[in-house]
Amino acid sequence: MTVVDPDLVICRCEGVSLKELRRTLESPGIRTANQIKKMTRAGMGPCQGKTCGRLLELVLQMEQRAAMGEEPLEARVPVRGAAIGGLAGLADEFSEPAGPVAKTHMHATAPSKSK
Amino acid sequence: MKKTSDVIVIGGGLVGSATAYYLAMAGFSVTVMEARGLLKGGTASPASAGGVRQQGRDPAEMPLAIFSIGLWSSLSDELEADLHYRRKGLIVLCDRAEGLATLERRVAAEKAFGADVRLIGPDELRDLAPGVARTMLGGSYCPTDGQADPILTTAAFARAAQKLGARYLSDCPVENLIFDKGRLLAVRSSKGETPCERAVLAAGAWSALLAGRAGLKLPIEPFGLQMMVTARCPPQLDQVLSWFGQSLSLKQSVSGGFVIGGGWPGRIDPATYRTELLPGAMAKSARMAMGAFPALQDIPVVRGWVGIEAYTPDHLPIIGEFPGHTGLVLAAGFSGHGFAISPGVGRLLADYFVTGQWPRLLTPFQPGRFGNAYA
Repeated sequence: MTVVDPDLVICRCEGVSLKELRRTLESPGIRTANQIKKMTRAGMGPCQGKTCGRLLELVLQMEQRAAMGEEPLEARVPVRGAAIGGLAGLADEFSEPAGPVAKTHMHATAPSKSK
Repeated sequence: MKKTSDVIVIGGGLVGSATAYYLAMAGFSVTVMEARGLLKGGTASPASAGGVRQQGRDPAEMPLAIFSIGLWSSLSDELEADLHYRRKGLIVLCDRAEGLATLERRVAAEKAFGADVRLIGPDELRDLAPGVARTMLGGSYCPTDGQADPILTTAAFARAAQKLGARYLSDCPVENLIFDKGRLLAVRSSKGETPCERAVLAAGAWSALLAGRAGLKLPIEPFGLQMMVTARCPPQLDQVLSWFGQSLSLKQSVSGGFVIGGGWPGRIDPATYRTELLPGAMAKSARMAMGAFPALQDIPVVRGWVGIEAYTPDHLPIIGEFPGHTGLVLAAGFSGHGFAISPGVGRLLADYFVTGQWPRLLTPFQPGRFGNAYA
């Protein structure tokens, strides 16, 4: 088997090395690219895994977790970075959703104990 | 699999993992049954916005939130993990004079519970958070609110629970709960029937489905909440921001990206754990975030996601035993704001299992509150 330098950087955006990926794979229950991504941030940078996604899968295959293509890194919207200002400018172009949901996380009114 | 457990925890998300940790700490033999695996996604825990706040809570939740913030102080040390917990406050922004009057009443009510919260004017607001829009007149500020990373926190609880001896079974979907004359006997999973003294049902939006198989009706509806994160930026916002009367939750994470949420919907399919972002919700959420923090304008959103959350009719969690049924304790239905209080819930449930006394802080959340139509 080919010996690979453990300090090899797999995810360049977030600076995640092979060594770090291997260490994370020692955690129980971690075996897919999407789990590894959440634990190490590999694939979470500006390229969103477009550069390192295949490499990540290769590492998982080398470490005998998941075969290539078995559970690939999920592509996330908006795929390419979209500036907040640009997105905001599109707000009136969409009818759905009509507005924020009533089920907001913040209690909107003053609390009262006598409710 | 015939091995008996004192307690089976159904669901390996944040609530399940925190409960497993505190139970294992108290000396119970614990088995966590997780339908898929740690942080597989789609569920509420890894999708959380990561707010650790007391402000804006329903009064029924306020004492539990204050208790939980106390636990958060030492959580990183206790779990021996960096949780990216940052206690730098939460500001509820307000841009309308009449809103400030309502906020003032809310602050008074929150203070009465013992929360360290106060109204701030425009000058203090600019000092604390210079990047906030000039249109904001002030707001309320609680310096002991903050944020943490939900993924790191869930993983840390799961790991710490296992270090203390908890068994963690992945790919182990629970199929049914076996009762005899109202007493829980066993949990049936894909791996067979496991006898147990007690079980904790912490399966989030999937809890109603599971309880339903045992004939127990739970008023929990799945609902999708959207989040977005921007590219990493130099630090420029310490506090978590919220906007009174609007749907915004904004923070700069320790990793550097701005995390944007606050109640915008996404499409979900709980049966497959699949979720889908709505472009309109992304655009409207972006507009709101920029309205509060204009420097976001040129910063790119790199990723969005949707979590499948468990909502109850009163948006309060359901925690407790079903009337007429012993052995099964429910801990689900956190309605999109369970992250901060999960450690408190886990700790108090462990206290209950040790003492047999139902914790006072958890009394508002009993399943019986929805009346006879349920449970």
